[in-house]
Amino acid sequence: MPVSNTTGYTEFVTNAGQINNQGLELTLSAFPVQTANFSWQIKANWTKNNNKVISIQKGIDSIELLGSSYSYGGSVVEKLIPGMPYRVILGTSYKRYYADPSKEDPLHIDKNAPLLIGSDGFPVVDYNYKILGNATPKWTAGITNSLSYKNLSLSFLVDIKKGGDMFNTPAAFFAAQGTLPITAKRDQSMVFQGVHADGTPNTTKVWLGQGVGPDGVNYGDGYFRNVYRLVDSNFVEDASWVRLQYVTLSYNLPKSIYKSTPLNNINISLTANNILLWTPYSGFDPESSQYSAESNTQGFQGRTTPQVRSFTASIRFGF
Amino acid sequence: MRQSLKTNKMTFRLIMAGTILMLVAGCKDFLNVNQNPNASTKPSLSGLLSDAEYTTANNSYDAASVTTYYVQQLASPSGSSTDRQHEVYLDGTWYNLYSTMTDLKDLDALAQKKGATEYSAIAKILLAMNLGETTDLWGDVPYSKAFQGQADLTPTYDSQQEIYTDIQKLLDDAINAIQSGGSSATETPNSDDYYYGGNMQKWLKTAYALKARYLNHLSKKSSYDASAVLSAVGKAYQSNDDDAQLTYTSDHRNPWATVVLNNQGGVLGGFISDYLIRAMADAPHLAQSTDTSIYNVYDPRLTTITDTLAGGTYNGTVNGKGSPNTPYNFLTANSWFSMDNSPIQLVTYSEMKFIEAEAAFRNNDKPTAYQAYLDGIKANMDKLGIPADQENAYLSNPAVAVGAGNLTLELIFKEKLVALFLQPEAWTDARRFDYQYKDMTVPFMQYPALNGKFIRRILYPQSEQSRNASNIPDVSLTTHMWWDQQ
Repeated sequence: MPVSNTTGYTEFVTNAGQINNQGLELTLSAFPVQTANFSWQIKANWTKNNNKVISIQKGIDSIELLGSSYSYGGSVVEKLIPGMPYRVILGTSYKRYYADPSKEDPLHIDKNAPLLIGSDGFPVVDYNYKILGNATPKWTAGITNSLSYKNLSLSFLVDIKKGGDMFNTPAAFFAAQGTLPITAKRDQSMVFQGVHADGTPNTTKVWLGQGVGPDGVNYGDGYFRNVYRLVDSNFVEDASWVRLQYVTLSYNLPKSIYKSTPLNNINISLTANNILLWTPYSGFDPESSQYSAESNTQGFQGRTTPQVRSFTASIRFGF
Repeated sequence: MRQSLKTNKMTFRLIMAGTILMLVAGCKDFLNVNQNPNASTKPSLSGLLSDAEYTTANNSYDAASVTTYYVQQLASPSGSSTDRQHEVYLDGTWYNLYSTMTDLKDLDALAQKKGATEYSAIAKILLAMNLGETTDLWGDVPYSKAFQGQADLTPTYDSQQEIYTDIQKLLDDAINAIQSGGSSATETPNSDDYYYGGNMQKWLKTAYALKARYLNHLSKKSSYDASAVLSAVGKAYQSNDDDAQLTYTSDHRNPWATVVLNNQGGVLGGFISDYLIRAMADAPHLAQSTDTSIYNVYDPRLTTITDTLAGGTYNGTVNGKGSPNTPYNFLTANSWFSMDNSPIQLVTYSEMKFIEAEAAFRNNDKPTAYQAYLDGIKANMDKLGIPADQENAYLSNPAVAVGAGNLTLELIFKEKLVALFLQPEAWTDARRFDYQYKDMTVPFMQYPALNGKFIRRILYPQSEQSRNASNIPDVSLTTHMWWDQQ
């Protein structure tokens, strides 16, 4: 685990803590239809894993995994915190108003508390990192269907992941550059719903654009560059997906065609990979990752190219 | 036949047993994989010294890449969050400083064990330098409880006052070691000492120079002792030849040269601040008709910082505003400061002259202060290679040569700001002077949480916040550190 650099070292190799994993894995295999010429097999598996960090080394509050240094609010990080699930994502959020400051949870955002609005009419960035999401999925599943009729067979695999958040790094950049769809609002004015530091509700109408607005006020670089992109919670998204991973159609040529050759069989198949993807994630690939598997860090949108959709045709000769 | 079969079996068994025994005996060393023959656990004094001198210079650059914005020597071409005085976490710089200090402590201990007093003295001086840089950025920092590895994984923070006492003690111990001479070791520093080639008299002057610098930092404190400062200055550098600096080479280029290369490649950086340009240029040398000269004197040192634009003019970037469209000045491969083999200056003779000027001024000795002020400007111009006639033109200009009776702290600090271009020490000056440079304002779109006040410190790094949270003092960007208050 990492240690304070002031000790003269960077890491201490020790049992860093205790993690508890509890999970359930189900596999189902069935032949709904099986006749002389036609068969249909389904194989499905479903995995759910609850993990929790029970404790870590005495004297250390939390262990930091890697983070995304591309966020403007400061580095978004993944951490191991006792009592929390493995791999929570932390970063900046909107400051909220608490009549009694001691009621504010230092780690969790209370969505019921009103936004704190500054004297300029804009929300305020909270640099005290709070939990924005959890990179671990709620459950994953895969379903393979295989159908065959005489010499023809068709199989397809559907891959599902439910839950598991991801920090959409490119979106933060796009917000700052004005190419993210939400920044199209920059020609509008609005009153942010929230409360000032003294408890009074906000009534200031502000313009979301840059430079001098229709009210004559100079908004400088504007809301989206000055506030929105600094708030990491805006870019942590649900990276669930349902993906049609492959569809394969294959045909064994009838023996009559090659019985006079030394061949044993000839098979023609067509495969389509990564055909369809349904996901609420607005980035370009919910399955990409900024870091390698050994880093233990999952939840950051990488800059690798997304998975391609490919089509393959092949002929196989058996001897 | 039967008999020989039994013998064969027996022989076979014996041979097997013997082989296994031999393998086991040999295995112990073979399986001992925890010793890496390539990673030395017993470094040489030379290796430690050379590496520490290299990283000390890099640490100075690390700090400067942020502090130069705060003192408005450089500005960000994109109005970056650093330039606007937002919260920045210099995790890398903290790591590098403590890494260098760990090595220096090891060097000192190893040198003392071997009776190599020169190496030990240099280690203490460099340790004082790096510790000073660390505390001037962050305030209270771990020191007395640090460097203990497993024995203390969460060191407590020492107060800055204690750190300043430690710094003076390190320097005094180094001075004593050098003056008592007579090292008993066969190893003495020479070509492994990049700064001085083993010249211990120059190290002695450096120790006094640092004493002067850190004593002078206490200018706001009632314990400020101008005479002690002047006494230390007197035993420090006598000319530019004594300066402590690392000269880089074309295969280990000066970090500012890398900034220039990146800038050419599209990763912009090294843009000169509008404030510095207007402080050093007169009206004819300003590209924008809307820009006003602050002192109405042309400072020839502008040519050492950047190339001219059209018509021999200059155009700086306003801090916090960024630089759209029109041509702007930035560091180039012609700048004295950012060529491949430019030096990183750590402690200089001109810095000593300005410390002398300030201490004498605070002691109400204006004639001494005035002479030191002029000497400081000339020394800096000499170092940058300014021709004598241009030096004289500047030094005799009435806006510069105001006369002893009219000398102000503002003029001393302004000239020191120019002489300490790209040095992190300039930020300590700015804070001690409360940023009262003529016409200096907070950056455009300054971080609203500062409420219009200038930034006073760097926040503790995130590595400390997650690994040593219970010991971190509670500070904000505008919390004055110990020497920054009465």
